[in-house]
Amino acid sequence: MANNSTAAPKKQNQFLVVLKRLFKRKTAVAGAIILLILTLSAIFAPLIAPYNYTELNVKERLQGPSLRHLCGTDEFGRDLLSRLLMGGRYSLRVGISVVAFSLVFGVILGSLSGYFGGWVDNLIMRFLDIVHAIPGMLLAIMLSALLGNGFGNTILALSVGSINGYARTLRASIMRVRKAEYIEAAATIKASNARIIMSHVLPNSIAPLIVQCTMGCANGILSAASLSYIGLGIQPPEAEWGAMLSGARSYIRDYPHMGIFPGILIALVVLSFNLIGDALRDALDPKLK
Amino acid sequence: MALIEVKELKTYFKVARGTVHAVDGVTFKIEEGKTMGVVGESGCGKTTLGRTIIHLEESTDGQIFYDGKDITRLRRKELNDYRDKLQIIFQDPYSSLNPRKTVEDTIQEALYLSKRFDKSQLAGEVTKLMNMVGIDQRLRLSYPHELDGGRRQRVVIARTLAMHPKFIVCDEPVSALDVSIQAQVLNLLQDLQEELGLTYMFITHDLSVVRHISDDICVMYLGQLVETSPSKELFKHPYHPYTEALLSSIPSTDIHHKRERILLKGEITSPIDPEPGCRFAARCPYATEACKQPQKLEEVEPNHFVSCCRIHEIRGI
Amino acid sequence: MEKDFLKVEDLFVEYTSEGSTVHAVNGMSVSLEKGKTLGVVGETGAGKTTLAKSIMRILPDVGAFIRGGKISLEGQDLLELKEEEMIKIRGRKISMIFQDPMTALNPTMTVGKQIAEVIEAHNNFSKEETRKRAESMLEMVGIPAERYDEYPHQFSGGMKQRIVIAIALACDPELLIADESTTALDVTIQAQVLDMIRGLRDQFQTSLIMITHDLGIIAEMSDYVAVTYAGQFIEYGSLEQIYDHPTHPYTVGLFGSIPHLHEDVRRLTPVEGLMPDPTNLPQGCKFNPRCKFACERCRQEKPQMVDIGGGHLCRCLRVHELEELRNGID
Repeated sequence: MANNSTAAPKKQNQFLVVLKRLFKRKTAVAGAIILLILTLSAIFAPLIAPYNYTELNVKERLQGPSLRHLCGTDEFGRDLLSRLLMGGRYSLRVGISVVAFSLVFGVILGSLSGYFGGWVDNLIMRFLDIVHAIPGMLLAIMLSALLGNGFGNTILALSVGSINGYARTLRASIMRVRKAEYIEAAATIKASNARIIMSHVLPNSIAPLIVQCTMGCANGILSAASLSYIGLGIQPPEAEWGAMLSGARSYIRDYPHMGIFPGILIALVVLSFNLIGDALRDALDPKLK
Repeated sequence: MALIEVKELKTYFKVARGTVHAVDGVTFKIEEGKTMGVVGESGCGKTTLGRTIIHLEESTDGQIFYDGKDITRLRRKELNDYRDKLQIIFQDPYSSLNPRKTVEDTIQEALYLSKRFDKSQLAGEVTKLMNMVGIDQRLRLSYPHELDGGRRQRVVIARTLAMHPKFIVCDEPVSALDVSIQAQVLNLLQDLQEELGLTYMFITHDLSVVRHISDDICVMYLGQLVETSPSKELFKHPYHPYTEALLSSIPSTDIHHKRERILLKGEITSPIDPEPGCRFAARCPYATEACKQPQKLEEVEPNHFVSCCRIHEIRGI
Repeated sequence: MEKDFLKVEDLFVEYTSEGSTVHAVNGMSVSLEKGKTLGVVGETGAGKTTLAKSIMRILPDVGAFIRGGKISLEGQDLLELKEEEMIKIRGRKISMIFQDPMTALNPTMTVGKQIAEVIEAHNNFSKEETRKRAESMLEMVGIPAERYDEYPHQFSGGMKQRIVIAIALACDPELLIADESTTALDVTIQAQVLDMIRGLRDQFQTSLIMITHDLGIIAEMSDYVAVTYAGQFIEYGSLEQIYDHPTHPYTVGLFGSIPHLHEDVRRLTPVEGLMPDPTNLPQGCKFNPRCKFACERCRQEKPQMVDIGGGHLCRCLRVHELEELRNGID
């Protein structure tokens, strides 16, 4: 029956295939470059920062950008560029960790809930309802106060509130996929539940989450700022973009540079994640070659 | 001995408005290596019947035997022992393949899970199966969306065969395909049956297909088995009034022998909490008071069973 | 005039999307008399639905192009008409029954209203008259007039399809196009609907184009049959000509693909291979890659329709050798 069968094509490493397809997209490359620059500058911040980021200099306070201070200074005369570079270390870590943490829990809860349905779904969803009923910021403040300061605790405090969003998005997506016959077909070839979820359900339902993640990162950075604003989370004189942005509020009319620079950086992070996320979603879809 | 036997099988579903009697007391046997066709219109329970036999739905009552062993109630581990042997080919080859898996991945996963081969043998077995179902090797790394319906259905068949099944429920396997492709897949299924000694339960609404492929036929109406008989006998002597109407409704390509068509009145009634008695009575031209009693399957000719209390009066047998 | 009630001449339709061109219809010509039925049979992608949509002039505005040809109804070229003039013809003169009754009805409007809407659009009746007419349409398709104020979800699939038919027939069209209109229905319901369409056709002398892949339905409904392949008619003739003497290798393969109800064949004898890619149709005869009689000439030359006797047309270069070739193979 197999007439004129030609040789089978060679199988390629799946990871490399996706990577190749990802970098065929200009937007993904642009996003990756932005992210790379931001990351490198954060890593090497102590080396490239022109000033000590905590050094006060009352004489030079509230200066606009100049050759001496490329991004100007803040209300205490601290060099903004140095603070931005150092702040990146913290803010990037917060943004990424919050997304990673809430994503892991969101995916676990969402998968269980969407795949098994019934009482499992009910239990998880009611629990998330309760968490969701508390305003996100209030929850973060509560947890942060309870757990105390420190990086890990801040991440935990900020993440708990956003697990709900990821879990629900994934659950809805899974419930759609679960009805497909290939899921049932997987069960008839004796695939275990874990296997069905990992290799059949998740790959087909994860796409809506990717976009949500890219937004979640910016939210994480900004919420961290709100926490430190009320004295929880990271404490001055440590630098952090979110805190710098909210601290610039009182000076926005006369010294806009104080807000503009951290604002641009946060926007760049979001943009780069978004570009990569969009391209990643397409690169993972075999239908879009 | 029959490979598959069901006795008084019932599958009910609870829904908001009551209980759906999807399969309501069905009894039949399928001999090894034979094909049992199950026909009926949408909502008659034919798909649920097939799914119940291979344990994709839980039966409410009655018994299922495989090779003489009662497999009606199985624990998870026992079920796994039968999973390989009892397989299904779904209707829609567009939704029964994972869109993110290549042809090779799909077939290989099933081979791997069947635990019949070493890892090193898998690639070679995939090649064998692809040749067996007639998929060109160059499509090995293709994704489902790159294949047409006929080829997808071949991939589905290959995945099913990877489990080394004995009994396959074919749930409308060709109704989503074009006529010429349909015939290619039917031929393939027949070849495989001969080659591997498979036993089929072939579920379809297409009566000409079912006549072509089946040795025996069950006709279902609203969850009940109304008639079962060897295939040719059924087409020659459709005794039950519903079978008769059903057969006369098929548009025939024979333009010189116009048949008398029996047009049924009304629509199929709801399978939710039905009245006891013959479900077809509401549309049956011969219905009387007696039809409101529960009906019994009766052997009117050798191997030809009909469930109708008035059959002797109507057909004069 | 009678003979050429509907005349399609050399119709070419293309779809373009993302740089590739789908050649959906590649030179179809056919004519139909009043009160007669043309069965158009073919598989997915053969261009059947595009033909229907071209006649109705409801091809999508973006991406679909009629590249050439003429469609005339009673001598009037439909492709030349302005959209406003075409609106008057649609529903009034030509009507179409779509494949899927579930999506052809508006779920938020009562079925009666949906029929009345069509009547209003083409007539100047008073409100009462319109309603009366709509009610009589419902009854004509076997649905009690009391159900006028019910919504589509309250009807079963077969009844919905009959409502779609009532809408299509509400203004006594002279030409009715039924595109796979019973495919989604169960056989006993299909039999009811076909019976109804046949009755209405005979009563009103409606011309009918029956588009389907089901050779059985074609056999029961049609006077003439056109077999479609890759956007062309490859065989055309009266019902008897096509069913008693199928000639084109594709037509023969199509008949070989369906199991017969009264004959026993152990194996079906379908056409091998797949429909050609409509963006990249083969050179020469479009069927040549799947044809077991194809020769070098078939790969080079485009065949024309040849009359093989009494108006039975066949598009095959080797049409006169076919019988010999077949005997040679068997």
